[in-house]
Amino acid sequence: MTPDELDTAIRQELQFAARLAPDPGPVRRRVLLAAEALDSGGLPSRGLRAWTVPLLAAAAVLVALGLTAASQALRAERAPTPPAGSISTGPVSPAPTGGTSTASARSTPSASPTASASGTPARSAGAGNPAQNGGSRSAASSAPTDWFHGLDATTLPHTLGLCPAGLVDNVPGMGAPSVSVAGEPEPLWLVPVACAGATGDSSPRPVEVFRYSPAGPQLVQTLAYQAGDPRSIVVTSIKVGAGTVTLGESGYDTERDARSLRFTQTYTWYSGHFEAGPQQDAVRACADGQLMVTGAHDASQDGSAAGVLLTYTNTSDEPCALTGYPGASVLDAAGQPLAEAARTPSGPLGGLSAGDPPRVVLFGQITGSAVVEWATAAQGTGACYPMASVVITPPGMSVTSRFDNQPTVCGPQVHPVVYGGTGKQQAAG
Amino acid sequence: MEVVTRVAVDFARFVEDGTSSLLGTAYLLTRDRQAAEELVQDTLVALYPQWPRVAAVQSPIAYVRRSLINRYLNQQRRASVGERISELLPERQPAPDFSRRVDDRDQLRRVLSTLPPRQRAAVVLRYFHDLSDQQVADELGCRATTVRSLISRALSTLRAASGTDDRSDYQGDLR
Repeated sequence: MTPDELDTAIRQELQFAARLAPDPGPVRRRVLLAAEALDSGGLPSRGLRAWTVPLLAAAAVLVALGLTAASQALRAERAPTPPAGSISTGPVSPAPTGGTSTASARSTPSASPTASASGTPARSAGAGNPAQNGGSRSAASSAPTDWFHGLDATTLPHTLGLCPAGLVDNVPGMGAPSVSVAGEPEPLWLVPVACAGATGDSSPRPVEVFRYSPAGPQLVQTLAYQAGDPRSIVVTSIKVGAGTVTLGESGYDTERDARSLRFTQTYTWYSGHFEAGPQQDAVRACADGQLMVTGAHDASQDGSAAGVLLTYTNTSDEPCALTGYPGASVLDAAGQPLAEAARTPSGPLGGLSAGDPPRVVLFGQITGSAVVEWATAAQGTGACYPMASVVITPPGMSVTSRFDNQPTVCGPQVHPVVYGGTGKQQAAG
Repeated sequence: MEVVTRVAVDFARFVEDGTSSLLGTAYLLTRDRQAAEELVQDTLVALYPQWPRVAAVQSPIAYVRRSLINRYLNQQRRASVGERISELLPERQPAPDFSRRVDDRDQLRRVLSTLPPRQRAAVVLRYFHDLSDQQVADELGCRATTVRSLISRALSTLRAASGTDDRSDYQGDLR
């Protein structure tokens, strides 16, 4: 390669690689949302400012409670007050006046003595005090209390040992959803975190679960993280259900030496903590529109075999898998099918080194490839097709690559998709 | 309020027009789609509060790109300790007669992604954005001679990897 060729090759490679850059749409949206939040003063907040909204909300609730209690006390004063021991000592005669709930409470032997004595229905005793009413308020509320919004994630009490001191930060762009669970009066907040300055592949990126406390947020649990875990799990998505959290996780695949594992894991709230469910493989088969297929002619050194090397690159944001043999057909000049390529594990130009076809997970720069090859002269009894076209389809897909005017195609064969860009599987070990 | 609105509109227009190019640069630097998204997002959001100043410079896109590259280089410095996982597959060297063009490209891609951050940034600005040495120097905040040195070392690495027999040094651009 001459200097000029190298210069051209660098430019071409950079242009090619830049086409694999992410779609700008989601980034634009997130940037503009963040700018809007900055305009409204919602993002950079520490200390007192972070707690202003929850404090005001709590004050409003207390005022409302006070008014309700005063009103009910007033009504209770107007109604005849039963003797304090009437509940446990015998049947109660209906009150001549008063609300239904008060009457109901009086007629229920198991009702709270405190509530009955004060004439306040039990249902409302803790309505404004999350610490007393378990999870009922969170579950019943359509809009959970936003105690977390505005907090600076760098000031939270993070997982010990996750990152060097002071270097934990939230993961931009992933948000911090909340989940309402039984037994927790306020929603729990789920915060994806990473070590500041680290890229997605060099640091674990777990999700920390925080609960509200008047003294400040408390770390409840860290999901998708285990100190010393060599898989370096990275959380890529968070989905909240009823008392459950499902995380999209990415793992380090030691066999492939690449971050090619993708799975989902559902955590279910049980007795004060999240129980981790099994990891489910989240990689689906590649579909049309996800792959960029490039083809290159290929030939053996002595010219006895020729063929096509197909390279598969996943251009989508999600990993996908190719398994098995591409479809390969030989057509005549008019496009009529002449033959199907035989499926063989390997041949002179490529294929498997041993074993079954692998499941090739494509993502980012992890590419796959396959070889379709044929002999250039008649060998044995195999038929030959002059000036034929070869049409190739990735496994399980309908998009085709066509290679016209192949001088002589004898005994065409196709080999399975393998990892890498050479069409040849590396020998194990 | 009008000033804020005008800034917001101007910023939104820049985000609309410039994000794609910035993502391309960020991806070439990081070779990681998620990291590229975060790099662009963090850069733009950090510059938003001072957007009137950015908008007033001769080339806002160059200013933002310079900020992005600085952020990337700082990240690399801070992340220099700890695990670094590559998405690249370790492959055997291909046979000489086997689809040379594809192999050259793969090899080039592999070597480009292993260049040190400042060399990679210089190569991206020089060969992808087609900037002159002086323009690259302005964006990297160094002198043109330093840029020539960075690119020369990068080309030397790439030549060694691609088997180029010509050992002439990088003489700089002709502009």
